[in-house]
Amino acid sequence: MTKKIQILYGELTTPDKIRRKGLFRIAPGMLWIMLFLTIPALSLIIISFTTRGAYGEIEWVFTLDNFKRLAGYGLFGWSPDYLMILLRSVIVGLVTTLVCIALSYPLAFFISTRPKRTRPIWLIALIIPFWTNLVIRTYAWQIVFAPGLPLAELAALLHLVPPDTPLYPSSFAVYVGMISAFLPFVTLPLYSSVEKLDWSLIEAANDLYCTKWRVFSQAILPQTLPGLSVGAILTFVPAMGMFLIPDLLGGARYMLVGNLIQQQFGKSRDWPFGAAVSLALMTLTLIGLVIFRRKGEKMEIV
Amino acid sequence: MEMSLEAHALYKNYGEVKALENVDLRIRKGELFTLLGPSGCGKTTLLRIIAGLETASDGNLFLNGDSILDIPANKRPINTVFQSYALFPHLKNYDNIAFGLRSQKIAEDVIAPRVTKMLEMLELEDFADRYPDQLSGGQRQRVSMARALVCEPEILLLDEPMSALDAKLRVQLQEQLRRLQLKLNKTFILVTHDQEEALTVSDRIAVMKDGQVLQCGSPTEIYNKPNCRFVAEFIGTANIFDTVREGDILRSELGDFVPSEMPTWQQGSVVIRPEGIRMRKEKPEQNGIQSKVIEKFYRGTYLDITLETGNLRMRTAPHRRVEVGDTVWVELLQQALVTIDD
Repeated sequence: MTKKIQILYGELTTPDKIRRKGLFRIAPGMLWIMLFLTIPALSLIIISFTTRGAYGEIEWVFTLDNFKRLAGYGLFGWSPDYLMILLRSVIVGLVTTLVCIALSYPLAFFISTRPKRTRPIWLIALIIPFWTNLVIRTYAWQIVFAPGLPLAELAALLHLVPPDTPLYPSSFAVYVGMISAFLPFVTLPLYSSVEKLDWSLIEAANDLYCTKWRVFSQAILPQTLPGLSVGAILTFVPAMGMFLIPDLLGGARYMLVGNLIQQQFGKSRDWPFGAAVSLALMTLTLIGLVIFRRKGEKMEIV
Repeated sequence: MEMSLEAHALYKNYGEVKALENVDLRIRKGELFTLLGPSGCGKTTLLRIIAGLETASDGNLFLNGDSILDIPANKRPINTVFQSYALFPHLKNYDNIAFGLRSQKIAEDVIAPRVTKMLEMLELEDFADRYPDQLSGGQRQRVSMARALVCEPEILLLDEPMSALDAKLRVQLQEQLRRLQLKLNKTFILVTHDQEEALTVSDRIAVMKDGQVLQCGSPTEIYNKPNCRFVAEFIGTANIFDTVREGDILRSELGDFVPSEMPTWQQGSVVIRPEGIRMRKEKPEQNGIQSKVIEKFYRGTYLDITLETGNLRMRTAPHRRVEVGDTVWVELLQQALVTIDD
């Protein structure tokens, strides 16, 4: 039997040796992912099929009850409460992402068309809020929305809210908080794409009788799609699971899936149900990403 | 002669910098008009104003007699071949060519034959289903040209279309460009800094410098009768020397000359192209110089010679027996002597 011999980096070797060497080199990374991603995820899946004990401990009785409960089948018949929470989370995630994109395009173009000297100032202005913890930033919004302050006064003047009431908790406050928290995640990657933009394509589109929308869709969007997809994923995935902002600005009645999970693993001490909800969130996120990828492929970009 | 495009006293300022200053042009229907000049002379700015990608600071622009300054770029019946070609990388070549027609919401069954005709005319049939980045520079340039021409514009603008190509291909494509323009009988406006290209393809040339048009005329006029030192030096090789007029004679360090047309100035310069200087066996009747050959360059189809007197450069037949160090008589042909006032 003859062994196949190859040259790798000037060294005579066999495919087997290369394979062993490669395996050895990627082993630390594999181990890391196994330990901190695969095993926790697997245990989450297992736990989601177990039963909650009387004192919140996990009883190894395997059942589908957690998923039935999530789908709305409870003691008192069917109610869509949990499904509504999931749906609301998807909507909040989508709206946050879309609004961030809509705001980021003008912002990225504005910054990238500033003179080179002043551009860092604008970028820093965008990043500075990140030097503050999200909790503090979110509390700051509570103060901004407090009664008697300009925003609440203005809203009262326009008869949007009764006088002397705060603007939170409300879905409006949640959206403001979410968008302000995630805006830089879209703007910064988009900015890096806009900075490299080939402006002659925009001119060519203009020269070839394009409407403003067609200039955007044919000359700007394809060129900025790499940055845009990074930003959209960086926003959509964490926005779906966000619990801090809806907790502080949305109040108890504005529950998103993140809050629900936090509640199950925390106050309610119902790990099995929490795991089931987490799985549902992960599945929804994955579906979102797959749809996103499909769309990208269809446009024959990326 | 019917005018296609007229520029009246166009100005363009970028802050303090004057990119265009009092530009007047009258471009005829169906001619290939070239804006020629060094980089920064304003030729591209002028082209962009014509395309509508830039606004003029002052002046007016007429297309077929109507002012078009207020018409935005996407409504002007003028299309551009960009220097970088600016093909859409996410579209196949066919879709790139169909792009302008689709923008105008023309029906697909009308678009298809027009695009196919363009693909045939520019010999691009085999590349319709490929993407622009799968093409060579010359092919990309043809796609870019097809994309502009398929819209049947009143005027086609070409912004240094050859600058990204290598020398040999450039010459080939210049000839192709000229053939295409004559076949379509359409107004083309070409921007270039390559004087040979300008001479080869143009009906008329406007030589620009510092935002102004210095001279406008046919290639032969520009080459044989430059109206100033810049034009003479920018195009081809020129011998230029200072003279003083004394009656009917121009006196210079090189000798005394009699031009075919006497200038009105007292002090100025004389321009003569290398082909305007002829070697003679004996002293010619007028405009003769006796000088030593100090350099000789054999170029295949001709011979370039530098004379000691005033470093005059001349061109002669390649078979002529002349060596470095020989003393020869030359005649500066009267009709080749051009007088300029700077």
